[in-house]
Amino acid sequence: MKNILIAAASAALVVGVATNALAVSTTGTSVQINGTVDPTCFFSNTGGSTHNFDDLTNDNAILLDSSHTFDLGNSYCNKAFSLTVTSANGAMIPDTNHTAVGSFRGYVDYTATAKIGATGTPVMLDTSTVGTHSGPETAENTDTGQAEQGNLSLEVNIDSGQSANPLLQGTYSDTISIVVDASI
Amino acid sequence: MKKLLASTAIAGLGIVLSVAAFALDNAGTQVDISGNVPKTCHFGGDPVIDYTSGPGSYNGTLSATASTINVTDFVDSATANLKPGTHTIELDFPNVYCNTPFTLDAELQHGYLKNFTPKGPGQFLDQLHYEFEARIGNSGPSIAIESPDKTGTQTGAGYAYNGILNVDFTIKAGTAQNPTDVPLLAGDFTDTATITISTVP
Repeated sequence: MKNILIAAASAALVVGVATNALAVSTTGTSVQINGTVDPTCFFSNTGGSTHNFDDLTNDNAILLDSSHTFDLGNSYCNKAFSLTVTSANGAMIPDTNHTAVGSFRGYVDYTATAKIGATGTPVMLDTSTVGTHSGPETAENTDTGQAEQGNLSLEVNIDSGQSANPLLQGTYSDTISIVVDASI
Repeated sequence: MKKLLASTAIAGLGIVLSVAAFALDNAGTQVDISGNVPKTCHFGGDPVIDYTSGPGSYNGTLSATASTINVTDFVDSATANLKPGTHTIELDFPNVYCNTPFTLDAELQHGYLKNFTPKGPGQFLDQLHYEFEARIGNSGPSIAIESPDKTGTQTGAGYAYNGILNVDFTIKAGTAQNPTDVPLLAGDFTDTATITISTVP
């Protein structure tokens, strides 16, 4: 009985080999597929945001500390990238143009720190580092060294210590631009 | 059949590449920040007070708090008569500012220094006339009031100002209103001047 079973198994093996030999003879090609993932940066919020600090000063027009953090939504760059923060005016400047006799301050410096995700590489623009407040000022990290993904945040801080003089009356404003570029 | 499948896969790979070509390697957004600095005017603190007199020199002494000025040697101690000459009390209020164009107003309660101590028969001087002037800096707007008027003409400046507000009280002795040959009634001679700086609406 044992001999019969072995013989049967051997026969089946022979048949199997023969079948395999037939398949090789009818196929002999292969394909290689590949694709490229381009450098990509994405902001879910490209429409921007606004914030009004309301009163920047106390009742005597003396500057107060102020802070606000913008949460601008999911953002990423899929490779190392540059991050640029630009102030359009170089400070918050008033919509009025009062002539003044005596010591007043007619602009408000601030810092603006942008980063992607909680541990992203921050870039801080300090508008006080450039003495002018009449044109764009920029801070840039030319190479973050890593891909980053997460909430794009921008923290704006106004330090009351920048001036003991009263501020001229007016509505002060500025526009801050954030640009990422993975083409580096 | 196998060739057909292979060509389909290649076609699919082509679609993927096309999508990648539309990806942007940069992105940007912007935020606007704003804040308000209201119109305001401010008095910075207690004034520096000087007392001058002339012609001649009186070693007048003066003590003052924020609201009361005491001047002695204004009066001849022997006769109780007003000493002749011009006596000026000057107050320099520091750190006075308006952060926008403003107006300056002043109003005197009585228009003269008044002694309200009751007096009996006889001639005693119980009021002193004076000239009042409030002035913004050396060349700024000013307002003047001369007894017995109580108010002056409102004045203003088309600019913001931060500096000193000068206020002068000047008593001219030896005039018809302030004779030097009539004894003064003992007691305090008082008046209250209210000086107001206001932003232009």
